[in-house]
Formats: sequence, structure tokens, C-alpha cells
Amino acid sequence: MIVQQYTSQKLDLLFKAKLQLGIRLLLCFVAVYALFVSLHVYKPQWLALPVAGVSLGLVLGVCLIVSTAVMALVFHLLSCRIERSFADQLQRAFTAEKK
Amino acid sequence: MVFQQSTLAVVLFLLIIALVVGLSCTLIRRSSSPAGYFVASGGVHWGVNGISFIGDYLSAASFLGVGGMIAVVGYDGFLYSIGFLSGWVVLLLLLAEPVRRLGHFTFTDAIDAYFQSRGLRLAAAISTLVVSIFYLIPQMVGAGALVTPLLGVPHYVGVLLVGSVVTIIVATSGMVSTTYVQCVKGALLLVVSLVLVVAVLDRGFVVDGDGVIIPVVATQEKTMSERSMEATGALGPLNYLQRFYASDVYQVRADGDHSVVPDFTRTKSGADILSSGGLFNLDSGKILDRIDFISLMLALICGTAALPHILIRYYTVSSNEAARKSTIVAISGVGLFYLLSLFIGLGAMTSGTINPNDSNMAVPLLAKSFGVVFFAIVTAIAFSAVLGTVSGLILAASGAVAHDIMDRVLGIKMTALEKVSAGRIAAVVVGCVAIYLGLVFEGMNVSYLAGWAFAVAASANLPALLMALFWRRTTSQGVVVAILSGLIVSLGLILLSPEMYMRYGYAAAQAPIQLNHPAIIAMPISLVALIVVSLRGGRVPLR
Repeated sequence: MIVQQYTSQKLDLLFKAKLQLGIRLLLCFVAVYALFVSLHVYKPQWLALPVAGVSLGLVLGVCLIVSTAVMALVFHLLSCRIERSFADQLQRAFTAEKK
Repeated sequence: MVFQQSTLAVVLFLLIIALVVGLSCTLIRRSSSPAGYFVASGGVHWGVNGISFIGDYLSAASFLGVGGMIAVVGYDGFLYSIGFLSGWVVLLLLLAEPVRRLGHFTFTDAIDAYFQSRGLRLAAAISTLVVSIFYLIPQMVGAGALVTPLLGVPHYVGVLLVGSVVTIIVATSGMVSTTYVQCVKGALLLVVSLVLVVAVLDRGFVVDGDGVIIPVVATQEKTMSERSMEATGALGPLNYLQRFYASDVYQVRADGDHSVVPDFTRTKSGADILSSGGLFNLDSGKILDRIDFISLMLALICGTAALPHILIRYYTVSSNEAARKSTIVAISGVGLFYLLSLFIGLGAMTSGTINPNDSNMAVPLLAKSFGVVFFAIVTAIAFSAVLGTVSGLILAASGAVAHDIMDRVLGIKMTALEKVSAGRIAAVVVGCVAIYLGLVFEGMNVSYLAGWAFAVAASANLPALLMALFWRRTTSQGVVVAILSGLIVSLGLILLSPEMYMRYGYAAAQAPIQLNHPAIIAMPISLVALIVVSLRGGRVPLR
């Protein structure tokens, strides 16, 4: 019973930990997205500047697309790490209960 | 406007229909229970689910609309891609796991998990229906646009055909067949887009003696022999963009109903085409133009996470890890597709494969410029793209009717078999509504229409879903008010928008609110309504 309660609490903590991670990463992404949109609204002439033979806007747009995939991968890897850490703690609790 | 049909195209089209209908009939036994019918019993592999996400999401709006918009307006069409994709980050980082953890069959399950309120269920189900039907409009319009050149039949026949086939798919075996149709379609769409881009890069540009790009395909050079022309030959992806950016491009003028010819009196620089200004008038200094643009980008990033037909795919996998992995597959695939769309759109522009009356036709016409076989393949796969998304949408809507409204709100006692039957009947009704709307909105750019669907979803669903999941003081009354206010305000603003006024036959300037995209007004109203009503009292659920 104690282990079940402990497991339930741990699952809630695990959920919260992953949510906090998600919120942090999302804030970073939203800041970049907002900057991208703001540049279009307030400084469209900057985005027309040539960078690497194309417009800065196009370069930033492609970077934003790539960063979306990178962000997803980073979130998954960090979430897996958090899950492993919680699983280890649960395993130790089960072992202690058995003893 | 009727095109000349190709036998091969017709054969491929019929083959696709036979394949999906056959698949649906084969899988019918696996959808005899509500869990099987609505969420494929939660047993879909994450890889399959990820590709199905791609198939579900990359609709006519993406395949025809984004490519077509880039072909017509340049860089501003690419901004749609960025907005569409960014929404996936919100979905993965905030909603994927909570929605999967709290729901069973529908979006309403997740939003109502803490409240168990009939009113909330009804409001969320209505919202699911409205958003799904709104998103069905661009799909059906795209379907008509596709089938017209493919089969040589008018728009309305195309809409009727697609509507009928999709309704059969969903009404027979629900999520099981929908998943496999979407999976096959997602994979084929990526492969075909890749091949199309390789062909575009291999073609390069046709330029005149001054280095100005002439929007014609190389085979048309002979018919325009009065000008000196040369082909650049194959170019790499970066070279292609750099060459385009550094060159001028002759503009096109209509030549008959469905083709264009170069207008040698007008040029536009590649640098201008690859900069903002083709669609959004942000340099005008008008505050409303800026607000409209911000509103669109807000709707695109928030809309994806609030689309019920995307959210229900999280119930089809068995674990949180599988949900995350499938989202990563989806983001990678969708991101790759949008990068490819840039080249496809520019390829259509520089090949002069634009229909002056319908920007949605640019991609099929580009394929046609590479030969009838390629055209037949691309159009048949684009047709499957419409099938995949429409089946997902109709399934989400039928779940809202059978599971949310009939079972949970009205309390109608149904056996498992009766519930599945109710879902099937609902699918047929929603399919008929979709067919009607596909006829009404003929000719509008499908990405533009999808922008509206995203705005309605972002306004009605996202504030309610986020607050219901994460704000402890949220009450069921607050969620109901948020959904209804978001829905009413966004729909009202769309109906009063300049674009709709033009469809009514009035001048755009007569519209009372000069905004085409409502999210920037409707989302805050929905959020504030939820907070105010929740703080005024009501039962706060235990979490």
C-alpha cells in the first residue's frame, strides 16, 4: 500500500517534471517565433537583406523549421532521462519494500 | 473549366480508390468495438502513428495550398509553412502526454477529465464539430481542384467523388483503416514531393540573354523562338535559391482560363519574391495589416495543438514514450515536406505552371509539365492526401456525435455495436455536410481557408484545453464559456471579414472589421472569459 502510494506520488512528480521541462523549452521556442514574427512586422527591410546568397528571412525561416525538429528531439531525450531517473527511484523503493 | 483527361491518370485514380476502399473493407472486423472504431484499440506502433500524423496533417491545404501560394506570392506563402509546423512544438511540449493520459476516444474526454460536466461535454463536442467541418472545407475544395485536371470532370463531381469515398472509408472501419490510409499516404507524399523537387532542381531555369528567368518549361522554348533563351541545367538546392534570388523573373499574364504566358514587359526581382510583401502588406504602415499578420501567425502556432483530429491520434498509441516518438517522426516529416514545398512552389512559378483562376492548381500543373505519367502519379497521391485528412476529420466529428453527445451528454444507452453504428451514421452525415461546403467555397486558396480553421480551433479549443489541464482554479462553467465565446467570436469575425464580404458580392472595404484572421481578438476573449467565470465561483475539481 505504501509502495502504491509512493508510486502514485512519483508518477505525479514525473508528470510535473516533464511538464516543467516542456514549458521551459516552449518558452524558448515561442521567444524565437515571436522575434521572427516581430521582425516581419517592424523590420521587414532587415529580412530582405542578403545572407548566404538568399534573403535573411528565408534563412531564418529554414532555421526555424530545423530548430522545430531539434527541439522535439531534445525534449524527447531529456524526458527519457527524467523517466529513467524516476524508474530507478521506484525500483529502489520496491527493493526496500521487499526486504 | 474542364481539362483533357489522361487514361493513365484515371487508372491510377481508380487504383487508389480501390486500394483504400479494399483496405477499409478488409479491416472492418477490427473496428467492431468503440475502442477499435474510434482509436484503433490504442495498439498502433509509434512509427506507424508518426507517419499517420504526417498523413493526417499534410492535407490539401499543405500539398496544394502552400505550394500554390508560394508559386503565386513567393516568400509569404512560405510563412504559412513555418506557422503550420511551429504548432507541433506546442502540441509536443505541452499537450501530447496530458491529453493521452486523460482521454480515451475524443478531445472532449481530455478537456472534461477533471470536471465530468455534461454542459462542458456538449460545448467541447460542438466545438469539435465546428472545427472539423471548418477544416473539411479546404480539403473538399482541394479535392475538387485535384480531380478536375485528373479526370476531366467539373469541380462538383470531384467534390462528390472524394466525399463519397472518404465517407465509405470512415463508415466502414473507422480509425483502423484511417490510420493505414494516412500512413501510406504520408509516406507516399514525402517520396513524391522529394522526387518532384529533384525534378525541379534538375530542370533549373530558362533564362534570356539578360539572365532574366522566363517562366516557361524548356519544352516550350521552341514556341517562343523570337527570344534568345538558354536553360541553366541542373542546380543544387542552395544554388537554385541563390540563382533565383540574384535574378529577375518575368511576370505572367493569363492566357485563357487555365494557363499563363510570360509577360515580357514586367519583371520582378528574385530578391523581392523571396522577401515579404507578396501577400502581406506589412510595409504599408497600416496598423490593421500588421495586426492581421500577427493574428494569422498566432492562429497557425496555436491552431495545430487544438485540432481534434490530430489530438485523437494520441489515443492510438500505448504509452507516453510512443506518443512523443510519433510526434518527433511527425515533426521531422512535416518539416521536411515544408522545405520541399518551397522548391515546389518556386519551381511552379519559374515553370509558368500556374492557373490564373485557381492557385491550388500550381503543384499538379507543375507535375504535368514533367509528363503525363508524373502528373498522374502526383495527382493520384495528392488525392490520397485529401482522403487521409478528410477521413481523420470525419472520424473526429463522428466521435464527437456518437461518443460525446449521444452517449455522454444525452445519456442514450447503447451497446458497443450500437455506438459504433451511431459513429458510422454520424460519419455519413458529416460527409454530406463536407460535400456541400466543398461546393460553396470553390476556387478559394485552400491554405487561406485552413488559416480560418486554425483560427477557430485556436480560439475555441486551446485556451479552454490549456486552462482545464493546468490551472487548478478552472471550473467547468469557465471552460464552457471559453469554448463558446472563442467559437462565436472567431466565427463572427470570419463572417464579417473583408474576404467574406467579397464572397457576399460586396467591396472588402465595406466589412465592419478590417481583419481577415480573428485569433488575435478571439483567443484573448476566450481566455479572459474563462478566468473571469472561474474566479466568480463554481465547483473547483480535485486533481
